[in-house]
Amino acid sequence: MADRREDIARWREAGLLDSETAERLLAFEASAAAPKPARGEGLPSITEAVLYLGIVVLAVGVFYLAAFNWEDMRSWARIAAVGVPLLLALLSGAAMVRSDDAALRRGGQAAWALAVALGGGSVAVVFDEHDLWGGLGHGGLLAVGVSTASLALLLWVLSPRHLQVLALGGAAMFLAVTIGNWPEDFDFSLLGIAALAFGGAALALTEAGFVVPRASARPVFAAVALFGPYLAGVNGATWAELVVFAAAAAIGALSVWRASFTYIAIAVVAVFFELVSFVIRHFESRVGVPVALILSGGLLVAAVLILVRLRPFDHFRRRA
Amino acid sequence: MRARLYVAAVLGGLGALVVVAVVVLRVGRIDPSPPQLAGHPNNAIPGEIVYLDRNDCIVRAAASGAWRVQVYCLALAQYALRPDVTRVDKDTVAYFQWSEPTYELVEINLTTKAVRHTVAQAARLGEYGLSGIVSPSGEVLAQDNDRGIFVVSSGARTKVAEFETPEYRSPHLETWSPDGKWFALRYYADEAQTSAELWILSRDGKVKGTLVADAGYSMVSWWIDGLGAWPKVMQDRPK
Repeated sequence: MADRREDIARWREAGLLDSETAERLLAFEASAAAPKPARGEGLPSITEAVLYLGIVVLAVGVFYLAAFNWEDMRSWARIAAVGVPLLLALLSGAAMVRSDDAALRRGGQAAWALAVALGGGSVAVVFDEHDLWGGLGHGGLLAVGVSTASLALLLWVLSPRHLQVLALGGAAMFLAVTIGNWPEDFDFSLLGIAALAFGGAALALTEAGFVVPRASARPVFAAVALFGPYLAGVNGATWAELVVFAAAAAIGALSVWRASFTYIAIAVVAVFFELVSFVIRHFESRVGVPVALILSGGLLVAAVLILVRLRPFDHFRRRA
Repeated sequence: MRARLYVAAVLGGLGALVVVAVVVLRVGRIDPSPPQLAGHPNNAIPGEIVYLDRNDCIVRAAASGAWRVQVYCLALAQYALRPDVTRVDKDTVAYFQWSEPTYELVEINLTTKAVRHTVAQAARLGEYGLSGIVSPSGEVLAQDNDRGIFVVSSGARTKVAEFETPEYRSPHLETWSPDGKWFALRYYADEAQTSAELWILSRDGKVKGTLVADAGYSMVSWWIDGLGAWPKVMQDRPK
């Protein structure tokens, strides 16, 4: 609130706001109409963090117990071993995700993010146990990818939070992998195209204001759009290497347009890794690494020079 | 909520479009199997083939694809080794099975389906290890890493055919025909290798056909009246 008052005062001094509008804005911010931070919003407490740690350790123990006895389990028991935790995750998430308490909401998000992984696992076990569509071959795995992405999308629609965005990004990448697995021999080009399509579409929707929260959607979907073609390039598709550079340039341009530091950071990281891979693949190894480092260093310097002109830096300077 | 449903419709639609296109267009799927002989028998292919199918039943099939009959079903444990069934004469197929304390020879009459068990020492195994890779006249069927199939004769190598198969899933060489003019190949169309196709290939590579798609894991035996069986597994039979 203090920041907003400062901003409004500064805008009034600059002649961007008249006094009447400024007063109305201040009154609005002070009124009940303005969204209030929920109780406990922010970083989780130590108690909450220890609770999560305990749940993770417990889950790993249960996972190993099931894994070590998998061969001796009956078919229904195998399905139940993943299906029951899935139901528990979905139900507990549904109970917590709309709570007034921020800690419980975070727990709900975590439960639903886990449910996405368990949902994929459950479908995989059912396909494997009942030998549907060839078991866990090309078709079965594709069905697992579709199911996982559908569940992730549904849970994001019901609760558009950071962890659901992360789960959606992970599920989109997994779906791209299962699409790449569809051909007889794994096709990294197909993976790259699918990931680029999913990540690109989600980024467009993010910038159009439809995908929220934008803070997590931007890095997650930019990473999906870049990582797929990167994998294709590393595995021999030259077109994909060029696509990574082009997509990174587009995301860099987007960072300038939308004044987003996140985008430029993702783009620089992608170009760095792609450049190293590209030079090593296409130049002699003796000169490949030094050239890659020189080019990457030059790129970083160029990126910084571009960033100097960005509005976020102006903002940082003003706040300083 | 409306905006989120819009996102779900766009992303879900895009995902569905990509998946349906990939599946319907069979992107990257390879089907190297030659045409089925069952629907269009090729009478130029002589003799009969016996094989053990994926349900452990002995099947007798015309190599031309004109007919196929189930002869006898074995009772085998799930993880037991599948026996190699061989044709021993016009009326008999046989296989070896372990029967404490030794192997016994099991012979089945193709017409009456009568079964005879004798101790295996009475029979003498032939060139079991070479299977059917060597022809009756001593030529050898070979394969390279580029999915090519060759006949090696007197040190000269002649390419017969090449099949566009998925990586690491080239057809296995199964046997020559007793007249040395044809080959039987085994191809696992299913990645899980639950059953195999048996392909017939002419020596010049011009005629190709899929005989059956339900073969199990064991060796096949080719019989031509007047020429006998190939590969020759048994040199002597018990009286």
